[in-house]
Amino acid sequence: MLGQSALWAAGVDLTLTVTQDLDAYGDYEWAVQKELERLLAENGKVLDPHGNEVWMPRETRYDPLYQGTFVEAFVADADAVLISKALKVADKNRALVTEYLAKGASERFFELARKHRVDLEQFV
Amino acid sequence: MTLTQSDLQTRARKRHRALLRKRRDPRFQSVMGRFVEDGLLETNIEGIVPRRKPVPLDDALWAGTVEPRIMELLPAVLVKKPRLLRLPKELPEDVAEVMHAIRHGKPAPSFRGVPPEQYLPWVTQVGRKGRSPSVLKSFRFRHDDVLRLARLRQNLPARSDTDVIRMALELLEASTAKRAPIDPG
Repeated sequence: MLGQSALWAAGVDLTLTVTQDLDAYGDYEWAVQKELERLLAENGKVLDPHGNEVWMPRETRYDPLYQGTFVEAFVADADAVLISKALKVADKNRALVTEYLAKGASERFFELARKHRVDLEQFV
Repeated sequence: MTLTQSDLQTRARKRHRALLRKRRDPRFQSVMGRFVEDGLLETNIEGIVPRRKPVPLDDALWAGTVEPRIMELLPAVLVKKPRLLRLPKELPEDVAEVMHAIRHGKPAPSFRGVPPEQYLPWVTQVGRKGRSPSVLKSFRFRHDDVLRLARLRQNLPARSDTDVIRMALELLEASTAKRAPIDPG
């Protein structure tokens, strides 16, 4: 799970507003995808068909979210998600990154920002 | 980067406080409440109360400058769920333009800073799911094609020839499309 939904699932202390779509890297059979889509639809959500094309830093950690018999789900770590947003869709996520900086961003976030050349000054 | 981490935090706190003031504005609260009520958005912003009453378009356009996801949804809402909004007698020119483009399948313009590739996908998600305004297109088929279409309509879970063509197009795109990487939402 990536994007805004990942931050929501991780319960980060940030102000979040999410749309109906779920960004995710999917490595699954067609039947699993269809079942996921059905479950999402029950909750008024849709699977973003372009989820696999979302850019995430190589250093992203994926923490276990669900462990089933046949299916495992992971959620991308918040620092990596925020770096992805700050680098690729700065305008749309300006308030989110500003709030994270205001609340005291982690050292890891600053390291990732330096490494991926994210201009953090644009958010302040 | 020339600012230290501490400087960044100090400046960010100031900007964040300004943003909090905007989020407390009754216009923002009512628009967000309307979109939440309809399941278009979910938020953990404090004080947002779901509401059924339509919100003025002007308020929605302003709230969209505070929360970009509102602006991203607005073109679809205008066409598919206009009852969420209270529309003025005369629509702003860019609003009328984007609605016309969506309804008639014309090249869509950017809408208040939101490029069409970001707002168009919502046209099929808002309101009746999977539906976008249809556009009349005519093609000349050979007799063989017409027979093939009829056979496919019988063999597929398709309600019409258009359904068959739509399925074929989706299949063709899925098997051949090479998309450029996109930005996360």
